[in-house]
Amino acid sequence: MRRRIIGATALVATAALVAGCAGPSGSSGGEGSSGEPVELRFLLWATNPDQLALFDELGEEFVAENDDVSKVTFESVTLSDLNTLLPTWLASNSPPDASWLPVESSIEYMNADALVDLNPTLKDVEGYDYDDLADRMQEPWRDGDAQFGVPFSNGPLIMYYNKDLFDQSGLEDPSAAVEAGTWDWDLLREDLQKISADSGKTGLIFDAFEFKNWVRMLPLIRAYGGTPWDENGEECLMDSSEMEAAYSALHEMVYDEKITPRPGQQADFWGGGAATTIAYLGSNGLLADVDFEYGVVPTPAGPGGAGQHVGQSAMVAYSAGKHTDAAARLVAYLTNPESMRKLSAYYPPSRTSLLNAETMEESAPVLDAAQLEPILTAVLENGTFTPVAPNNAETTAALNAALDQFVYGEDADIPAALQQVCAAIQPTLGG
Amino acid sequence: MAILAQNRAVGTGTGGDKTPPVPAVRRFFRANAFGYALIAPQLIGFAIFGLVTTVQSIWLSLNSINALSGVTTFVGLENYVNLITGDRFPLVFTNTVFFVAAFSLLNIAVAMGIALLLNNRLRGVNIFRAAVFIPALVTMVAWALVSRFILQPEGLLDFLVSFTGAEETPWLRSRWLTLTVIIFVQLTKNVGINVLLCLAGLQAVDRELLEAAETDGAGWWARFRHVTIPQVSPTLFMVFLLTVVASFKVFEVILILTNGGPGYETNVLSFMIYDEAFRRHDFGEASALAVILLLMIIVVSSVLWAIRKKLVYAEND
Repeated sequence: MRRRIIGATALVATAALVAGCAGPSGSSGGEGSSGEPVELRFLLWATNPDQLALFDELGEEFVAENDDVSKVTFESVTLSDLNTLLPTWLASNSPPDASWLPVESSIEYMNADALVDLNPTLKDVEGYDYDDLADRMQEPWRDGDAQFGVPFSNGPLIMYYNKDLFDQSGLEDPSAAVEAGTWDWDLLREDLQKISADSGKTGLIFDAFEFKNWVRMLPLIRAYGGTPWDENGEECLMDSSEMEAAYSALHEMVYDEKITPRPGQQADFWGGGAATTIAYLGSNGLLADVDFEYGVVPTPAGPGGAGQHVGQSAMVAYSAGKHTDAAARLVAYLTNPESMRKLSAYYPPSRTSLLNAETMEESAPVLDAAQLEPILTAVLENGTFTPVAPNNAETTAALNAALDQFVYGEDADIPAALQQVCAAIQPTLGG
Repeated sequence: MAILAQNRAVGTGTGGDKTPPVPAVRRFFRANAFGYALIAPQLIGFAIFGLVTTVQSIWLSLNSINALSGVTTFVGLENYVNLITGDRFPLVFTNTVFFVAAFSLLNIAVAMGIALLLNNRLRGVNIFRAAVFIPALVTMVAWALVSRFILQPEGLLDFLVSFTGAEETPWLRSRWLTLTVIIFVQLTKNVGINVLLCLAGLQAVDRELLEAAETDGAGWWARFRHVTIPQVSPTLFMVFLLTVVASFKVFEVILILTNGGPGYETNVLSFMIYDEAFRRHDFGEASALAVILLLMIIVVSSVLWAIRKKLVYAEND
């Protein structure tokens, strides 16, 4: 009897362990297998409760219109977590059905056949108005007739400035310089040196740059006409004269003029610790809590023109997902004219009919149409997206590390350092 | 319970003296079966997860893996060759060896030193004992964030150092200095636990032996060297061994203070695994690194374990 009890105890305990290890029984239903409604899982990096509520609402509407779908779950993670989780899930063949994806990752995911071609679904859905999708914004996601993602957010990097600090130093308001056509990096650097000398505050913060995120330098790079690699992502151009000029300018601003923080040095614009910052349009909500007068302008022009950097994210469906057809329809629903109009309250849209200052005003509640008009004009005339490399993850990691090692130090010889950068990233490029 | 079970196994048969003797192994398991049943789920879980993940890591390290397409191609030892002949591995390997050696030795020395100070019966000594332990209760992330704030250019440390007339120091922008700073940050965070363990060891030292040595004319150093150290050596050995193993896996403090930079100059193996897998999406090389790290830990632990008889007084008995 005692032995039986012991045996039973061991059996139950082991069974409990095995059951625990097995985890949940997976997603409910299989598309086309049992015919039961499926559940879709959508990954995004929104954290604002209002934005998540809007997605939940759109998800419920989609379920109501699609009998074969019982539920859409929107899971929120940070962008860096998404970059970590997605490859892990894809490698283990258990990705979400759909997600947001930054434009930097577009070619890498498309080349790996990780994304569903949405073109047939988008063209098949009644009232989708495929032609209203702004062609230039779709380019990174198209390959011939195929379309592997629909951009829903096209946020420019813009300059926020502390009006009070400009006034205290008796300087012209940057918006006046924009209007006069004199708004460039030389003028900005002069102004910031005066402000730093007068107030002791930091001049410029490249938001979320921290000397480890090269993308945040793109407004400066574009102003000098630079690009890190050629259009095909095959040849490194980090050692071009334009890039030399751009990184020399950064080096001077950091170490000679001391108007922007050094590596490791912490500063905060939104708390009033700096005169200007370059951040995405989507950060404008932070202005609601600042205790100084502020303004926004396009990022300054330079010898290479008035290039404006635009960040972009698209909605995609994964080919390794269990319900690819339903996932493609979900992406189509979330990017149809009505849904995108609702989403434009938070994200600058990619439909021609919605690309105007009034719509952007909705997505930038702290700013008015008059403030946004020059930005929109600058973006539409001179906006360029993040350069995309075929092996984005590897190239980005190598580029950030090489810049950190060779370029960002105080004693760096910029031309020689940029050649070392090219030597480090060229093997990761497609050529 | 064990005795009861043994008695039952040996003496309750109906055959009396004719009952054949029960083998020792069977007797042992009969006596302890209930205990084994209770810990079985845990042990099986450990075995499954430990074995599966280790074997899987070894297998992945022999493959080239395109994480996005899910395509895996067997490449043999190519990942290992690429790593070892690449630019980054020698740098990172050296950093790891330096970090582990310096941190482990310094940790045990500082922990023992503080424990000796706290082993005095002074009024209010408990306050100091608590103070030393408090950092161990804080998360490493918070500790590293505060440290970064202090160590930043023109930060608090630079401000304090400026009173000596010294120039500003790039605490987080050079190789050996920054690794030393990282060791210091990690040490101040974790030393409290080891201090407590050393203190427990010191308080278990036989006072009669110390008094006898003192009576025989032994000075403080002689008593410490020949009486105290031998008696706390088992504790010191375990603390050292655990610290060595833990220091191979340092991660958060590197991520927050330097991100492994400048470039790879403060990168260590455990951080490079993360870098390879989740920033470069190269799961094959990341797995190869994980296997190398595992081997290093096994080798170092085994060597330490093998020489423990020379280090630990009680092991000679």
